[in-house]
Amino acid sequence: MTATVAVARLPLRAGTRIAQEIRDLLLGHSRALAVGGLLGSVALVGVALVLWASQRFAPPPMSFVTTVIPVAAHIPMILSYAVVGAIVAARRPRNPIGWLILTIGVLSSSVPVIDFLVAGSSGQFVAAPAWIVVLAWLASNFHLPLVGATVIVIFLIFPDGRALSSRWSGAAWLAIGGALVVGLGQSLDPSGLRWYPTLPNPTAAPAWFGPYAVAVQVAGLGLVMVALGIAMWAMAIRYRGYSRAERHGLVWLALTVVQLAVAGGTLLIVRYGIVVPPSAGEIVLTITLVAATLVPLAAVDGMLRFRLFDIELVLTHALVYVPLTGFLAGLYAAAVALFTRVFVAFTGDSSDIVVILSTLIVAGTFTPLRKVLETFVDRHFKPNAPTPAEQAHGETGGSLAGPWPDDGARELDAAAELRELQARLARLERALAERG
Amino acid sequence: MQHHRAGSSLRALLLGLAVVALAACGTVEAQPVGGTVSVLATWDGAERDAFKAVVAPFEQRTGIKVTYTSTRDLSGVLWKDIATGDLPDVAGLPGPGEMREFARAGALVDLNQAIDVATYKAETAPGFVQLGTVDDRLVGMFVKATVKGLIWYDPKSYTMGDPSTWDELKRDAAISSRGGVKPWCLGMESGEASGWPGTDWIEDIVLHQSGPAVYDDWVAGKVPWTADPIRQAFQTFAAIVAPEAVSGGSAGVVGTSFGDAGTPLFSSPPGCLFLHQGSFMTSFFQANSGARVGEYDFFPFPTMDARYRSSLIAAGDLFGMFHDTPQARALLTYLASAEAQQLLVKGGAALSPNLRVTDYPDDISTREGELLRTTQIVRFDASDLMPEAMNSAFEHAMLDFARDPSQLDSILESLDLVRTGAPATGPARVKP
Repeated sequence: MTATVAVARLPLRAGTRIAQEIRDLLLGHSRALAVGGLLGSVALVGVALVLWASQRFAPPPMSFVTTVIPVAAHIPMILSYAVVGAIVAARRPRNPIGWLILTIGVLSSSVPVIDFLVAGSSGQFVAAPAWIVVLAWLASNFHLPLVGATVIVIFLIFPDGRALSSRWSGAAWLAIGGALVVGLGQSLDPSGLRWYPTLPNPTAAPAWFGPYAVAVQVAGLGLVMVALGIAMWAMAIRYRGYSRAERHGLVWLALTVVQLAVAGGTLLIVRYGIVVPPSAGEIVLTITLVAATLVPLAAVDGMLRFRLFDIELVLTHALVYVPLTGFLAGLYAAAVALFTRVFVAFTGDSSDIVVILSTLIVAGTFTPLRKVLETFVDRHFKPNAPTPAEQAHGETGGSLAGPWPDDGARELDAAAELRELQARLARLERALAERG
Repeated sequence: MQHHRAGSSLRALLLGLAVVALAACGTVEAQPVGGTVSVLATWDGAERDAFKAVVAPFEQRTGIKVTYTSTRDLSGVLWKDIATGDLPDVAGLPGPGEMREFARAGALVDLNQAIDVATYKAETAPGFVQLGTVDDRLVGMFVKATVKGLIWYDPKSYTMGDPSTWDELKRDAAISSRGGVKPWCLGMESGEASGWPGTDWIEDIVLHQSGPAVYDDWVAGKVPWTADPIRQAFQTFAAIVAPEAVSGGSAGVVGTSFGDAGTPLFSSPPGCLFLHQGSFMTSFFQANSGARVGEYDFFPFPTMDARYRSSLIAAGDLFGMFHDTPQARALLTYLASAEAQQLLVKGGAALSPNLRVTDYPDDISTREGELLRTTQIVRFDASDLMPEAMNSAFEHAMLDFARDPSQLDSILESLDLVRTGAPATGPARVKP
């Protein structure tokens, strides 16, 4: 009996060891993976925009899409998850939250590409290419349920990357299992692909199975909704455990989480549970996309307030350098064009040499300007420079050492903590004085 | 104890799934036997006979009797029937544009719940599925496809080979018509729908002259009728309906039935060299003009602008369900099947939207099917996509233009008035 159990455990042990090795390998290249995921997402969004432009920015023939609004709302959502996910994953690779957020960004960035590939094939009077049907099948059946499940998992383990206890982690499996059941039900749906109604469902069951397929979807949806409820409960428990200062700092994140849960839950219900007019579905879809976009942005806000994940410097630099670089690039291009025109106007020569000369002159002027701006930015946003909050708090300012999620210690604004302690002390002193 | 609890939870979960599954289940459909299904469509003459031949095996197998009624004023009859509530079970629909109006009026049944839609979508080109879909519901099912804009001729009268450009066509026509033969045949009479052969001309010219982007915007009502591309199309068409270019002059164009328009091609001496018409025209050549297979041929609409070299206009016959009965479900499922579609094309003069049907009975149909599959820019018939009021005005405008092309400005302005009012006013005929 013991030998049998030992033999049975062998594959489990081997699997655990392999998983550990893969994990170590990935952690060793976490920064490259995070940057790769971000660049991949941005590239896919770029491909989608090129495809969309070739279709003259027409709304793709999708369910719940009658205008360009949901498509336009999807792009910022993708980028917000990809950027925030990549930053968090690169800074705190052992915390799964960053990777999960990045995964949502990467998965979601493939969807607009598929949307426009389907749009391109839908107007044709020949069969859609099989590879487009396969991509559409994956996106239509599994993308939304799995993204929903991933968001639920993030809610469960936020912010330290661990569930409240092993019991709570069961909700994560419930969410993933429910999402897979929803996907399975859709895969068997004889009426076609839910999101791409013009394409056939290659794994459709016979017509008589239609009601059963719907039942499977509804059952899966039930599991997901239960998991969502548990995740929200877990967040509420954590939130109640925070100090007032922490709660104050996380209020926007809490609000966005609640509105995403409400909007996303409604979307899952109208998509898989009940029949609504496409215009109503489009409104719910758009609200959910906007709500989903706000969550990473609110998380950034929380990170900046609490130095959560120790990334505020990265973000500050990104927020300063990106617009500055864009501004300089635009100014540079405009200056080259202007100089070229001036040259042509004065000399009448429109050959390439004019463009080269203009570029050289502008580049010569811009290099010192760029250096001046860089120096300015570095002076104001250097890591060792005091932050505005620190400046405001003076000598009492500072932050507790140690990142929040990895070792469980929370990096908090010491000044806020100190102020709260002082206020408590003052209240205590008043109470004592009143008593006697 | 923990194992026991886990086992109970699992059993409860499975039981819950089973209960939900059973609760959501409807009854499994049984094959209907007997009864009647009423069908209304435009097919008459040879097309009606072909349809009856297609449904004969269905009637035999199921015992369902198909009662067919034909009308050329499909739109008017259907709107009237919607108003009175006396609708056929199944009907041909005037086009995707008007189908949308019927669907939004709540008259059409969602076929997703009524037919074997998985098979239909798997076997039908996505372009046709998309055109039959309104607000995520499949309400129109294509049972026949048509290639429009073919230039028909009698190989005995025209022997200069297929012209690849519009200029080549004009040159060849000039050479071939030196004996006094008019280059073009054209007949626009078609009952309440008179004028539609003229709309087909304008559509082809717009697509080949100005490209698919302008075509799409024009269909969507974003391009005014007075805009240059549309005006240029009418001006190009003016050369076709000029008295020296068309058989019978303007009176002949307006008064000749579209089904008889090809007859002068085969007379001796020929009355004209070319006829611009769709792939279904061969049945009229045989039935109305007495021509036999081999006595007519076609070439595709020539290139007008090299950028839009490979362009084509397609169309098709849509069916919708107005009464959800087991007999109507069975008939539509059958009509979409490869078996029925194969029978339909076997009768000739018909192409199938079913991708599994590739075995055509003659060389002409095979080439037409090939054209539909290989052309790069394919657009659906514009007038069929427009709202009914716009479509109707377009048809009437073509008759007015054929009578007096000098009235172009006022004709286009009146069309533009309909365009700007069309979305709000909807169909001009009887509404429910």
